[in-house]
Amino acid sequence: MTLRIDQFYTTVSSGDATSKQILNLQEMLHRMGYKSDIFCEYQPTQFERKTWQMMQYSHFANHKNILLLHYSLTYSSFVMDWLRKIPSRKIIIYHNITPHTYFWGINDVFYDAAYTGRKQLPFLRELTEIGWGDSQFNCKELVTNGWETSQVLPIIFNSAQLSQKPKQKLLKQLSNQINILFVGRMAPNKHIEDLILTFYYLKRRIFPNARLFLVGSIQGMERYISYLQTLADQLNLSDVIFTGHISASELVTYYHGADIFLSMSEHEGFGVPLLESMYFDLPIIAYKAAAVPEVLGDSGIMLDTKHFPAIAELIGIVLEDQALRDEIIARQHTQLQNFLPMTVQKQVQSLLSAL
Amino acid sequence: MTHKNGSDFNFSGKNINIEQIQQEIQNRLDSYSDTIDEIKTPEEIARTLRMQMIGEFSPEMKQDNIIQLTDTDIVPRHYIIGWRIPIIGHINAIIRRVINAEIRRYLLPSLVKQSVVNQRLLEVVETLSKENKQLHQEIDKIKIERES
Repeated sequence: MTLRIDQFYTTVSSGDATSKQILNLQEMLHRMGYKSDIFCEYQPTQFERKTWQMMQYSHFANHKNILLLHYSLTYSSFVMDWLRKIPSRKIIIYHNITPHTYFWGINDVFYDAAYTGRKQLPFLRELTEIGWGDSQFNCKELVTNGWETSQVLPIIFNSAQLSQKPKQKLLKQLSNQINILFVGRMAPNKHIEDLILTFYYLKRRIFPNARLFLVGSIQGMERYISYLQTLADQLNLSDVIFTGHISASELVTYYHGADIFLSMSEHEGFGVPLLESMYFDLPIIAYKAAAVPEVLGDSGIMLDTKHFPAIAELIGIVLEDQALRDEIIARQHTQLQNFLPMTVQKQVQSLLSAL
Repeated sequence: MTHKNGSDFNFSGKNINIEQIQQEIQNRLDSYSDTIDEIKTPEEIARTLRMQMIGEFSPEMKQDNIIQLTDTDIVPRHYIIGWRIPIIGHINAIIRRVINAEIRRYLLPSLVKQSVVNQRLLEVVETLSKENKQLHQEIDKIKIERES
């Protein structure tokens, strides 16, 4: 009988990095000859045909089959009880949890979930036989929480998910101006205010016609967004654009139309938009924190400190110097190879054979 | 690189002449005669605004959760009845959907009410627990003062 390697996550949604990884991993496991389904606590309507409700996993629960538990926020008490009863071999895949302190005064539910999520880690240690993380940064946290060792299972970069054609009308709107791009959930750990401050100096001193595009979901972050919008207003910055959650083809358009990818994030379990920027030949300038140095490797420009006027000048230099830009892009291309499906598949194979 | 205003700026990148770029940045920063002439710098505006609109986290504000906030909601909001087997699966799903709809019509109002009560109760319990913790701290403080 073929060994099953199934996956569990609270829910699968579009645009979320963990969900994309789950779908890519399922495709990879199928290619490798394993039977693999996705089970969720909350079965999403959008992915109804690709997922199963978690209670249906009981048909496959036995001591031989493997259940990969994707963990990025918290599991409800119901899920924790359910996991205790399942005899399958369980492996946690840790995508990291944003420290709860970031959500203080912004969203009580996220604050609570992030706090509980981290406190749940030692309990999950008792339930799982091994821990994998999508970066060394995440693996270290698993080891701190009691796992003896932890190995990296990197994010799979599937360019097919970005194969949409750019929207011509939007692309036209993006032309003839300097566009600074950031992609990610508009969460406080991303330090969006630092992007706005850098943009202030860039616009005032170097490129008066520059625009800052902040692409990503604002759901649950309304109070933070209100602060950011007030900040932009007080600094008289009319060209700070919050797009909210957008379609895949719009995302592709923003990558095509942008001149630089700027990140000031101080907590990233991985950072998928960095890979996407590499794919779209967008020079990356990112603050060196959490898993960012691992994802960028020798590519991009990493900021050790946040000196906003100097970062604005650095952006100016990168945009003016074609040779420098080409060098950055070439290195980013090399780095991206480490996350392509065929490269990651070898790592998955090696991780599975070590079990 | 230490800028004349005392703040540091460092960055890294392979195959990039960092020293040369840093010098160029320094020259450019030095060339601005205008500086930022507002009463408050943009950084100060951001800090003040954040304090006003969000506030700052203090470790004393957090205590262990008695109950998870997500657990207070007992309404089955994400229950999907689907089918994958042709014909029979479809009929089966229709029957289950009809039964489910009838049960939900009967049960849902009570579950929603109970979820609201659970949430309010959790808030009250957490507030009381916080007050209790503060009172204990005050008692300990008074005890120490009396002993000394």
